[in-house]
Amino acid sequence: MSLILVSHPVLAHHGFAAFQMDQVSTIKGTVVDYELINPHVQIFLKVEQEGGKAVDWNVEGVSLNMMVRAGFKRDSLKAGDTVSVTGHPGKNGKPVLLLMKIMLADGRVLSAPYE
Amino acid sequence: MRHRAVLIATIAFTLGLSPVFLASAAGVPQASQAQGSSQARDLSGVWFTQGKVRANFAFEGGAPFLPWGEERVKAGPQKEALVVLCIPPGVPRVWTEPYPFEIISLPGRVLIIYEYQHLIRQIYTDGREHPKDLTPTYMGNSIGKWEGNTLVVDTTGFNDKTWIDGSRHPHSDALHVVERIQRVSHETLQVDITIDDPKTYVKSWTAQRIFDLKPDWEISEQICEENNTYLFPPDNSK
Repeated sequence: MSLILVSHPVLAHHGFAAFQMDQVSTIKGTVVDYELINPHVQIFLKVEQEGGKAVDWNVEGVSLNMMVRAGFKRDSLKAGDTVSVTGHPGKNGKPVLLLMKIMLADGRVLSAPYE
Repeated sequence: MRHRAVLIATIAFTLGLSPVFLASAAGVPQASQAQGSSQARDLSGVWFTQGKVRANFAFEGGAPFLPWGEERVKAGPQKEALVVLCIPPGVPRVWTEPYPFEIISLPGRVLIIYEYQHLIRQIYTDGREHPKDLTPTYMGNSIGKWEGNTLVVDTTGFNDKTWIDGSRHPHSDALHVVERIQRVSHETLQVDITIDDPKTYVKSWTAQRIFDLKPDWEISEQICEENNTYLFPPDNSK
């Protein structure tokens, strides 16, 4: 079990209203932490920017039960994995993404259970 | 007798009539349409929303507010607070939650186990009526009657502490919900909901939800209290 090295999730409990559901972004980064938790699964990524600066992203899934039904397991991601995530960006301008699909380090692709 | 049945079947086939007509005309005992068949009345299974999860159904052809409804929108409970504090969603909002539910048929009762908060609804089908002087509750008091193959669930006795849906559409303790639940195919469940609240809205209206059978799913643990690890944002309207 990984230590929770990152701060509290930047998003409070919410529905999809916090995201731009008509926009799609893709980011590629390194997993810092992965929490298979309620109410929403959390993935924390470090994404390298041009010029060498890294930005901490918070990728959010839906509920633990539904993500497990979509194939997410406790060991699907681990710190240090390089992954690519496609999702809906947040409305608040912060580096947050609602997960639509993720390409794992081994090349497998998992998708969100619903939108 | 056999000759008569064959003759009727031949005529019916020629005329394009249904097997139900055939059975009736040939004198074979047949459950009446009003009673329905036990197979079509079997709503059991684990079900999940078909297509996109939609939190809002208050105004699918819905009704404008009466003055009390307007006031309630301004003064009512924060919907995010209800979620984080694990307050039951009430009926009909429970149908908008992005979790599966399981229907179990028992003699005299139909149970619905909603994965969300592990809420259990008991729908009495033994012919009883609503008790008089109901104590208001979040999920109300439900009785069911079969109309053909449709389970008609009448629910009343609500408190006014929940919203009708995920979009802050209010209701009063006069809310009366009728859900018509039918298995339109083995894999498909249709729920037609009539929402009537004469204190809050100028008229009643209906909404519909379709659910897919999930034969490989089981209802899982869902501990709503874990939501408390999240803080409220200062402004819940965003």
